[in-house]
Amino acid sequence: MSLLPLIPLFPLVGAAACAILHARTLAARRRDAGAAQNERVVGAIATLAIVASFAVSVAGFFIIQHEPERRVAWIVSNWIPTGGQTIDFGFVLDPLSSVMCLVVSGVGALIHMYATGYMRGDKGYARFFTYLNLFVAAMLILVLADSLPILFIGWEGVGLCSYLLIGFWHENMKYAEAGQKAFVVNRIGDFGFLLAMFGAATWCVDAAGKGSFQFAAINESVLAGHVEPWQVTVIGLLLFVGACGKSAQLPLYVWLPDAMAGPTPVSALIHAATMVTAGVYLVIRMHPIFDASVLASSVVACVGAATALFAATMGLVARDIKKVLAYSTISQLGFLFLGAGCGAYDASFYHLVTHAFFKALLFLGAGAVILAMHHEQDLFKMGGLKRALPLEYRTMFVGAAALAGIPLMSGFFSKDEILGGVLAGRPVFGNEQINLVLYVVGAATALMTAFYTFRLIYLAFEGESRSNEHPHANPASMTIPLAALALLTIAAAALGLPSVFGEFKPLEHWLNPVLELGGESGNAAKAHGLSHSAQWLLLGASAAIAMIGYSLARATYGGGLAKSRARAEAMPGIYKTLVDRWYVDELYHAVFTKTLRLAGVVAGLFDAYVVDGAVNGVAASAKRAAAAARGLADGKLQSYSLWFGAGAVALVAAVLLLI
Amino acid sequence: MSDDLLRFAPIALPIAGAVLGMLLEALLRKPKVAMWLTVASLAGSIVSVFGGATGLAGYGSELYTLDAAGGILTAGASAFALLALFLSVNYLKPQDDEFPGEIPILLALVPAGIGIIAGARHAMMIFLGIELLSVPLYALVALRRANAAAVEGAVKYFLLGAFAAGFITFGMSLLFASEHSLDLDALRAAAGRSPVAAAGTALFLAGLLFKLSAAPFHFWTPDAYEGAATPVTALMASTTKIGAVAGLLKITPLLPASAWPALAAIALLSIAAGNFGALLQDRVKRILAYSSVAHAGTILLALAAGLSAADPALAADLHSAASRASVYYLIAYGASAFGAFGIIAILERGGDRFRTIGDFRGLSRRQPAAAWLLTFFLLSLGGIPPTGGFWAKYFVFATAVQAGQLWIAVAGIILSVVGVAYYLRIVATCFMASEDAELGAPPQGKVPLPALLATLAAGVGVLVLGFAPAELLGLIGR
Amino acid sequence: MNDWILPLLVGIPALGALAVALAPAKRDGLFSLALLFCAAEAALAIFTFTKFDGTNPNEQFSFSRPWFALPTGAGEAVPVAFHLGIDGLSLLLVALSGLLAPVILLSAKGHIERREREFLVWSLVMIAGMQGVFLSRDLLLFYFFWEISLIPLYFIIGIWGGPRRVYATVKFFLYTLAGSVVMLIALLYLAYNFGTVAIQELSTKDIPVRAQLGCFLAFALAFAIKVPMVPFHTWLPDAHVEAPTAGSIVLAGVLLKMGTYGFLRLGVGMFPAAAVQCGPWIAGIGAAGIIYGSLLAYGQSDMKKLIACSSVAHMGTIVVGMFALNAAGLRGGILQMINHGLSTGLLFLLVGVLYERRHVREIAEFGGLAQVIPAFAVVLTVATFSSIGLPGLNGFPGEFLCLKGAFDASPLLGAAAAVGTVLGAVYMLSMLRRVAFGPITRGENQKLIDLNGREWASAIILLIPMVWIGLQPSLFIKPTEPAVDLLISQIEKGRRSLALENGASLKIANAGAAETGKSGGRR
Repeated sequence: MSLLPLIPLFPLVGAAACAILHARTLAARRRDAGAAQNERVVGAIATLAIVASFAVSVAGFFIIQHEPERRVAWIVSNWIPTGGQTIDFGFVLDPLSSVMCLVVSGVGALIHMYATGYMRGDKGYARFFTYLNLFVAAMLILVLADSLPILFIGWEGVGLCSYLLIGFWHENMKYAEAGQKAFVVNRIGDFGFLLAMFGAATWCVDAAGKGSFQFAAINESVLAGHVEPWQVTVIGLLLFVGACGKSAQLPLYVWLPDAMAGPTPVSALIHAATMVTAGVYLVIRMHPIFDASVLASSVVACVGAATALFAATMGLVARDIKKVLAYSTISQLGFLFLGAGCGAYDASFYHLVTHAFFKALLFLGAGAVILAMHHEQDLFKMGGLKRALPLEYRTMFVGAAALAGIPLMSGFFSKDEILGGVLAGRPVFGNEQINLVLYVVGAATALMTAFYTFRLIYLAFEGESRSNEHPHANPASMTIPLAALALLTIAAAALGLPSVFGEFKPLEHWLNPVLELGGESGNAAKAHGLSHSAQWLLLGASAAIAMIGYSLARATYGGGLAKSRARAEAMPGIYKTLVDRWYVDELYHAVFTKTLRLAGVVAGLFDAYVVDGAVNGVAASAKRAAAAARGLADGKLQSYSLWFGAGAVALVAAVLLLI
Repeated sequence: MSDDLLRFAPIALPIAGAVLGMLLEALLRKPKVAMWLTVASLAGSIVSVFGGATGLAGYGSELYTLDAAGGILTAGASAFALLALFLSVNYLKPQDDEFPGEIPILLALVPAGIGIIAGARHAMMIFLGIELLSVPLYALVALRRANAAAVEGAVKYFLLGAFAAGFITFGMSLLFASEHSLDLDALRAAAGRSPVAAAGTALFLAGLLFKLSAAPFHFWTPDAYEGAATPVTALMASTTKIGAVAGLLKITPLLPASAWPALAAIALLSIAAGNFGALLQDRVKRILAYSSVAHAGTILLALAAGLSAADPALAADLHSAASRASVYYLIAYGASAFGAFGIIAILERGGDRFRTIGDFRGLSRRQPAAAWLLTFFLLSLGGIPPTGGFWAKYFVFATAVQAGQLWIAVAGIILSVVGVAYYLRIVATCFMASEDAELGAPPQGKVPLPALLATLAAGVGVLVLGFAPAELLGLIGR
Repeated sequence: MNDWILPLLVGIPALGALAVALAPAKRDGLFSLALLFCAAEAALAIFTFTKFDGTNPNEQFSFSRPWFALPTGAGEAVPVAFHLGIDGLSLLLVALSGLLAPVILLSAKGHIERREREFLVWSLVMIAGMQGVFLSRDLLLFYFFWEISLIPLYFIIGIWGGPRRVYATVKFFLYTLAGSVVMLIALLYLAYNFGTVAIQELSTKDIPVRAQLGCFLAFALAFAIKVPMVPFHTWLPDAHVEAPTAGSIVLAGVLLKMGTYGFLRLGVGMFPAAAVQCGPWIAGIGAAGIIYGSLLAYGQSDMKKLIACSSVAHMGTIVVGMFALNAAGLRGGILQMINHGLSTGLLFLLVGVLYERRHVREIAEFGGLAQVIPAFAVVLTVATFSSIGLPGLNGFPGEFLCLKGAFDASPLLGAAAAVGTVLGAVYMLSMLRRVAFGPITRGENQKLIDLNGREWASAIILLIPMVWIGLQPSLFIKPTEPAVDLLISQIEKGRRSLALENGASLKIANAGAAETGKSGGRR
């Protein structure tokens, strides 16, 4: 389908147009021709580019329904002829990528619209939309890619845009550092990704012994059992290293909290709704590998669970409104991996979609609050905003309810599906007891999630104002996306209601061609299944957990900060540890950054004194030899004659010896 | 009869020119006459070589027959002497009253001596040639008799030269005692049979190696080179080695093939001694003097290779390869060294400036043409393409490799990289002095035209050799 | 008709050098004259690229004239020819050298204020020498040009360089010369034992494995120093730091590639068995170089030195790719040579832009430049990301192929080499951040002037192929394929002869063991 390349092409053209406008602005500024920046034009171009992309995605969604295998492909052959497995530049639209396209371009369009208001008056307005459009283009390439290297283009492209956007206000060195940190940590993940890519291409061969970079071929090869089990495990683990980087999992999560340095729409789009889910997308896309390797999938599940719990603990005490949401994002991404690792891919993807909606909503709401509060981000300096920002409050409450898993909200169902999937899913490390442990971890995380979510709501909106600032109202361009996302958040519940509500599971049915690759066994969670009564039990437990969390938050923060202070003082050790984020950043700094810097210094000294020292040593010994040679020539005739005679004698002796 | 005239023309003409010049000089007291006579006789010598004087047999050919390689050497020596004459004409002009008519006369005798060695078929002839070559040089070095360094250099050169002559005669007597002949063919046929003859040959070699300034017989070289007037140094650098190698080409085959490591050791020792000796010198002429020691070593590498085959068929091949390579080397090195000294002579113009390396600081800004030419000659000495020096090195090492002496070739070539260091040092001083650094001494007066032409001729030679190595190779091989 | 293209590629700059040396014109006239020749060279190089038949594995546009014969005795002689030819291995490098010619001059316009005529002459000689190296199909001619190309850079660094220029330039000259002279001995050995110095002919000879090994090592020393591979690299940072911008561009852009190209053309092409034998070691050293060079780069505070050290790392990647000795690695190596030339060339160009304005190169002297000179910052960002292999720019396909080849040769090698992608991001982004981002810490930087027309022109000459290669790498890889396949078959031949040799020695050993066994039994 020739429409396919249009999906990323529109944002790409939009980015180019914005870049040109930005260059003109700069030129005008240099000539002191006043601010020639036309924000309306830039905003319109950028937003319309994404809307156009969304429109094509919708068209594609309908088109593939009529295709035999619900997939269309577009391939330009021979992008990189490697001499072995040639890499084609190919896109494929199948149920999975189609939904991703819809989410990315749909949420993307709303966030673009929001950003036209949020970024108003910034001197890098056009630059911002250049990056933002470029990001959407890269993200769409990522999800449309039909092979690992093409996905990697998008993968690195979103990384680049993330880098540029985190450090968007580059005058601030801290922000620039945060951008760099994000890119470098992601590169560590990419290291695994690259090797996984090579391993997959080299080891995953078809019956004829030929490898490929294409997902379809790799999955097929794994399913057909043409690959050694250890190789599958290695590929799976390396892929997961890549996913850990991009999706901020332990131990590579550290960049995401810092990434909040970027403008809030960026946090909403990149660091909540789209880019960070790329790792999960990758795991789902290549799930036959994880199905085939117990070790790899178990590692995914355990790391996911650990990340979910760990990040949630830090969310409990964070004061920066965006940081709370950032930890929550890491935690929720952990949930996604937990589900995926247990084989509950449909549940995981369901939660991915709902999370995209409600987390984008929460971030945008937070942005609206921040802007209204004149760039105040400290929750402890907010409060009572309910009155000044009623729409923001309502929409954010919807988002918070979804995140906390308040019954009947989309987040409630999707999270519950994952927890159910953990219990019913494939035994982790072959041991069902571990699944139970992971369920408990998930449930504890859910409890904390509900707590910190409503803590945020209470601190920001309820009670008395703790700030001297007078919040101002936000423009319609910002509030409309909030409302739209709130509606989406509510409506998304319908995508995957549990089977106790009937077999109405549009998302799962839609994804079946992708997820049931390899038959029932591939979709482990469903294969096991849970009885209706068990499902009811789980739903009840989830609801109870959410309500407990809510009540705790209400009890603690309903009446201002006093109670929370008291609790914090009651357990200073834990509180301090959490506030200091378990000292992980400090640990990393000490272990990696300092080691690397030391290694650089040591290498420099070694180079100067040993390696180059040897070179200069050769020169120095030549000079010593030269001094000796000069010493021999003392200018005295006697010694010259002596040398002459000695030489002649030696020559005669040598000749006589040699004959 | 006419053949005999032609046969002896390459040596007879310069000698005749010198004798006639001496008489006329005494009678007329006009140095110019002697000069032009020398020019004519040297030119005649060159013309006669290319006019068919080589390879002829006739009266006395058991003593003297010039072969193709010998012809090239003789013609080369004559040419360098001719160029040296042009170089010296105006060099001493500031002291016009002192301009000695003996310069052209002495100059003419040098190539005559070389011609005799090059054509010698009898050991005594080689000795004769060496003395004919050396005695004028002693005098030439001492030419500036008011100059202490010149006198010192000349004395050292002369005394050690006498030493060398003693070794040669002793060696000859041993040879004669053992083989009852000094005919080279006969000696060669008997090579390796008698230790006495081998010892005699070695002593003869020692004398020749002195002339070549190979280590450890080289210590006179820096003193003599520095002391002599630069045109004379140019002559010494370019021609004495020709004479020495012409002799070595005839004497080394008298050794048994198994003695080649001795020669190779001297070769490597010379390269090392020359290059390391030059490395820390500050006087440019001394640097070039030491460099000539290293070059002597390089030529010896070819000769050692030429000696090394025991199998007669191979030996003939190798010997001709060695003689080709060494002749080529002599011409290319001679031209390069002559050019370098020529530039210095032109810069000095009789004065004593441009002695230390510091005097060359910033030369490229003051005298760009001189700096460029000097660089060109130095690169050739360093064996960097596209110069004759590159091919000279190439052919020498080719011979060594042909003889299978890979490791000696590797050692030699790595040691010769050291040499490039001090050539580059001079180049760097000329070109890379910082803007605010104190520049070297400014040259005085006009550039002497004959000297310039002589130097340019050397430059053209090096350039042609650099791009068309085949031509000279063809002449030698003929 | 076509056989005149290659002599012209060498001849145009050579003639240009002569013309500039002799021209009576004043300064600007001289520059325009030289630029004219460089533009002609670039145009001819691009023309060559377009006319090249990408399906033909053999040399094209051949030009061959006998030069002289080296007698080997008994009436035999080794013919030496002035033989130029181009094939897939050299095509891209020839095009790059041509393309860089005008860039070198343009970048120099602002720096070289004194002795301009000399500079132009040397630059043109340099280009002629490099083209000669890449086009030579005769070993001796190759060596001839190889050594000639030393001289111009010696002067360019030595005359127009920084305060320690003489030390740096002499070190560069002697170090590389010392490496290459041994190559001459190996060359002579080949000439005498195999009766030819034609590269193509030597490639078809069955050189015994032991001889291959010796010659390969002799050549490898020269190339390893030129590349430079760790631990022979220390001349490079010194040379770069002292060199004027034009010198750095030509050094990083093309000169280092003479080493990697030599490895391919001569090392692997002529001595495949030795290459197979030594391949893992050399690749290992390359991988070590990646990590070591990266660490060195991370420790630098001088921008030029940092980029110079990054060159060591990047050249390591190329070596790793090439000595993976498989199709992916070889293609990657060839492509990465070009990529490194483009991106590092651009980086040096940009450092030169700053140096021209501020006369400092310390990273700490800058900061916040994106606010003052945004266009510069954009180009610097592009160059940085090209250097660290961002997909969509040129660095990616090359690095990807190198790493893929390495992985196929040995997953551990691939993993070690891939560490460079992480470290590269660390030091390059640190530099970018400290130079371009953050607050403006120095008053002097407030009034910096953004890229001017001349600088834009030279940057764009480099940026266009950077983006083009990034988007359509196949266009640049395809023409090299047949030549690489030929090389692969050569490597296969090497593997076979090595196996044969090992088999034979194994047999001998077995026989020997049997013999001793027997004698032991007898006892």
